[in-house]
Amino acid sequence: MSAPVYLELVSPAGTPAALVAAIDAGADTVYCGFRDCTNARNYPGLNFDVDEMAEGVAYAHARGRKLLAAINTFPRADDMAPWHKAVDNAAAIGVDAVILADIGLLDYAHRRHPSLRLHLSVQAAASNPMSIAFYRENFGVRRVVLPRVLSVDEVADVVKAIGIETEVFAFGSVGSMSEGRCFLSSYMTGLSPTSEGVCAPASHVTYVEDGDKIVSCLGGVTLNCFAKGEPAAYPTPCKGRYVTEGRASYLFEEPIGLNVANILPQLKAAGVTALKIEGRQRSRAYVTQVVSGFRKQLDALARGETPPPADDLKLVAEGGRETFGAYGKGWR
Amino acid sequence: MKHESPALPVPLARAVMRAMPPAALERALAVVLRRMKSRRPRLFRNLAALKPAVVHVEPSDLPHRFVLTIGGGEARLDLLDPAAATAKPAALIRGALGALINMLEGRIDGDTLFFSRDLLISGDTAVIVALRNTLDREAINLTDDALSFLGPLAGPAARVMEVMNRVGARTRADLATFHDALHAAPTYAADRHLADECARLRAELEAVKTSLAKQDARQRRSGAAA
Repeated sequence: MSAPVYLELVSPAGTPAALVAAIDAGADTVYCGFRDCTNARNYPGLNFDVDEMAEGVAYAHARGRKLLAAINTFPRADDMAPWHKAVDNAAAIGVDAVILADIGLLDYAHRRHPSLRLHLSVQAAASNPMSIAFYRENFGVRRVVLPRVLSVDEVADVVKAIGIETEVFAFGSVGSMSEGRCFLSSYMTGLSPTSEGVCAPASHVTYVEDGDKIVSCLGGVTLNCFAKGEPAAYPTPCKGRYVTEGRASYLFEEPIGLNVANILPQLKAAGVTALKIEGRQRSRAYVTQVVSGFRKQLDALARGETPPPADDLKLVAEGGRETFGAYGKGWR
Repeated sequence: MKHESPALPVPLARAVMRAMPPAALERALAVVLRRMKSRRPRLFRNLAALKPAVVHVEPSDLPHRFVLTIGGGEARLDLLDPAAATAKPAALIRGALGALINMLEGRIDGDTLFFSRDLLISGDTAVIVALRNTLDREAINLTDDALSFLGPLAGPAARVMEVMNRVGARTRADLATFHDALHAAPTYAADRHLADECARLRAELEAVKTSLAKQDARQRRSGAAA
């Protein structure tokens, strides 16, 4: 008999193979995106066409799991059609919910598909009860993905006040920027991260070997330089090292991964519904490893047992290091 | 129950590929690729549909280099002939053979290899990302492809591979234990004394740091109040 649900485990899937890996590794829910600019991981070779997403829905439902479609970029002023089509296709193939960020698209989905369950993407950056209540009352949003800026106590306060489900980030980036409103990379690439779906488009990223060092650049701007043996970071402006007062340092965010495995009881006590693993751009090997790791933790907690150590996930974390991020912040 | 093929024994593959003369390796590569193409037509269709590009693959522990040609309706892997004049590749991938095989078979995450610097890439990153994602869409198993040549002998051969992998894993674990033992904490009395002294100094340093941090905080608070 399977253990009762402690917290819903929501896994990313960038490809059909990753979707199968996620379900087989024990994800309760999988989220994925269409192969275009309507999702925030619009990388070449990644994502699903409509038929693949429909097959994913069938695979998940046959095993009692759910599939969510992330349509979480912001429509362009001159062409809303891809976003409308994505919502219509998601509804037609029977996804369990769509994850949306744009206020106009939420309105479109709510009016056009009243029975379609709506989740508010982290890209909407709704981090207080008043903001979340607006989306709940006007569009019938049933779940909010909280930005990674709240402490556990603040998450508990939000949960108490909003009356809908909350999903929080469990593993991935620290994500300290105001999500959905970060335009740093557009100054280097000329592309909008919120409408094109990538903040470091692969077409604008280069790595150059300089002796033992590796230099990463975005749009011709040097972001970082890694000495031999030093862990590398993603080539995004927020993970760049910048020289101030004669010293190069990480000004925005260090290459370090978020991992809440050791505070799961606190998140459960805070009233959280679901845990989101980040990484649709990562491989099916990553999906298997992270989902399996969290599955073991959650099942042990559901049985009232002490969960096993989760140290092995450090290997797949960015920079090979982990943090609780804002969940453990003590400056407020 | 799902059938799990054994992983390709990397030390064996490495030894065979090192020993093979280029002409023989080129022929073997062509045979394996033909087999893969007939078993995984979708993968080759997807590779052929990518933006045309030439990628050099450099297993850092092999004397050979490979040329991967994708897009424009074709998907080919050839041995690089160092004597032939070749155009500059759009991108280059470099890593140990084991890392490359494990990534191809979906056993290890490419970003993890990148973070740890076990995988180096240069050139057109879009080409690499598209290639990585296209390969990761498929459940590739080189052992399956290699064993499919053997017909009825595939079963026994798979069992031999399993044994080789088990022995390899045990040997690696034994070596790791041996390595750890060599670098274990000091056991001689003098070293123990040194270790105790270090621990005491570390504790003192932490206490001083804490005290300084408290003083700083007090000063900031009194400054803010003023």
